[in-house]
Parts: sequence; structure tokens; C-alpha cells
Amino acid sequence: MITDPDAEFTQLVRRQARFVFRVAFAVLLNAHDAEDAVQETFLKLFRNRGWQNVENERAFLARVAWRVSVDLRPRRTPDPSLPLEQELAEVWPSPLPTPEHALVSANEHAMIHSLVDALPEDLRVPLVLSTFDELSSREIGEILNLPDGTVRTRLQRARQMLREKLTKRRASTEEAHHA
Amino acid sequence: MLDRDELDRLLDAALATYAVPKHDSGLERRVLERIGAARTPVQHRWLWAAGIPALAASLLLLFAVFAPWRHTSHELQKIDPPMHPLVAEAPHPARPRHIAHTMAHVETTGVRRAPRPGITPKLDVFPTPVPLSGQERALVRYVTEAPEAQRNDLMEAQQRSIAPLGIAAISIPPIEPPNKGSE
Repeated sequence: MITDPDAEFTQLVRRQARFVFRVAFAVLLNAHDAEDAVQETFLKLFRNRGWQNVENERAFLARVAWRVSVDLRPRRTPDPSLPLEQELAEVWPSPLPTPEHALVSANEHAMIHSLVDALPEDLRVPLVLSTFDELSSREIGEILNLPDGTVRTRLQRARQMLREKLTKRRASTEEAHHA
Repeated sequence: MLDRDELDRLLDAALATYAVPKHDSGLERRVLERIGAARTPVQHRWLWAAGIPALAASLLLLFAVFAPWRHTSHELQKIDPPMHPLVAEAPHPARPRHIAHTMAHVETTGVRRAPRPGITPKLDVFPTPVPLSGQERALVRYVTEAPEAQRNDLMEAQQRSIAPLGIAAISIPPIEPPNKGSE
């Protein structure tokens, strides 16, 4: 059994750093900024010893990482007059050149990742949190300060948007192949 | 066209690899290094927090031990030894005003200051001899020139004047009321 707090914290970092990185990336959409958020998250936990005696370690870490990432996120207000597609493309540009580029390279996962990146943050973060480590909608709601029903609604909307976009992209790709 | 289940499976598979850092990315190592770097200044801060008061206390102690006023006090004691009781009780007729003021200040405040080199106090313990007055000269002449019998009479007269006088008890008779007939 590990009793040294420093050794215990080191084990926590080794165990959860990648998870924290994913949470941060879901907000910041940038690997460098996400790593900064990871370091800031663990530094904050180390300083105030807030990581000790928590019931749900992952939910707690996700909440701290989400708050840190939101603080690090560059401030930008989307224009409500823009249509959703245009707004998403402007506010959350894909890390890849275009979704078509991902299709051309036959990398469907990368293309879907770019579609996830293009989702609004209030849909993307619950979706990302729901995909790893079996975080329930109630736990996601506790992390994001949202009611359980709101989380479930946002998850359904996020998946529906991804389905529609993916179907549309695949159809356009097949047409391009036939032509 | 993919049906809904196939789309969900594809989405789940893609989401499972979303934002996953590579295993050899060194993320954990960099996080621990950053924490280690942040922890070192904290320890240094504790050292400073404990060291500065200790240093200040040491300096204060040294200053108290080797303070200038302590040497001044010793020097003053050397140049101003305790006076003989008779001398100390004697008045200081010729003490200069500024020295008297200094001594009064020492007595009232308890602070003994080193005198400045130019005004070292020179206490006038023994008065300067002065010439005899006319009465004194006449007395000396009478004592040396008068006959032996007259000198003895003079000494007896001095002894008599010094001896205590006998005073008889005073009796005051009561005052009697005046007679009506005599009025």
C-alpha cells in the first residue's frame, strides 16, 4: 500500500494524465493548450491537496480539468446570425485541412474527429466525456453543472448531428468516386 | 448507405480514439517535471521564511552585545569614578552651568553620556584659597600676641557660650476677675 503522498500523487498522474488530456482537448481542441491544461490541473491539485479523499476520482479530475480548460480557452463570442454550419466552421476550425481530406486519405476516424471538433462545445464536451470510462449522464452532469436530463438531451443531439454529417460526407465521397 | 447501427458503431469506434495521446508522448513525465519544478521554489520559500527571521534575530543579538553605547558607558565609568561620600555630599559651588545641566540630565533620565573632549568636567572639590578677612587677621594677631591669662579667659568664655542655657520653669498665675468695687 502506498502511503507517501508524493508517491501517491505520482501514481495519480500516471493513472489519469491521459484522461485529463482528453477532457482538456475536448474543450481546447489543441494539443499544446490541452497539455498546458493538464499540467495546470495537476499543479492545482498538488498545491491544495484536493485530490485526496475523493469518492469518484475520474469525475473529480474531469471537473477540475474542465474548469481549468475553460479558463484557458480563448474568449470568442459566436455570431448568432450565422448559420450553424458556417458558425461551426468559423468558430471551431478543424485541425485537419477539411473533412474531405480525411476521406480522401481513407481515415474515417480522423474525419469523424474533425466532425466532433466542429460540434459546439456544449454538445462536444458531454459527448467526449460519455465515450470514455463509462461516465454516466448523472456524473457528466455533476462535472458540467448540468441536470441529468439536459446531458442526455445534448448527447442525443450531438450524436444525431454527427450521424447526419457523416452520412452527408460519405454520400458526397461515393458520388465523387462514381464520377 | 449505412444504417443507424452501423453509423453508431463507426462513431463509437472513432470517439474511443478521440484526443488520445500517444503512449510515448511523455505527457506524464512532463507533468511530473513541471510539478517537481514548482515544488522546489516552495521548499526554498520555506527556507527563506525560516532563515530571514533567524538572521534578523542574530543581527539583533550581535548589535545588542557590541552596541556603541555599551562602550561609551564603560568609558564614562572610567573617567567618572565614584566620589568619596564627603565629597559627594559637599556642595558644588563653582560647577559651571553647562556641567550642572548635564549632570541634572543624567540624574533625571538615567542616561549617562560620554562627555565631549573639549568640556571634560573638572569638579571643584577643594576651594581655591582666598586671603584672610580683616576680622580673621585681628583674631590671629590677638591669639598670637595676647598674654596667656587673657587667652584662657577667651577660651572659657567660648566654652560658656557653647554650654546649654538653664531655663527656669515658667509659672503663670491665673487671672483673677476684677473687683466690682474697684471699678
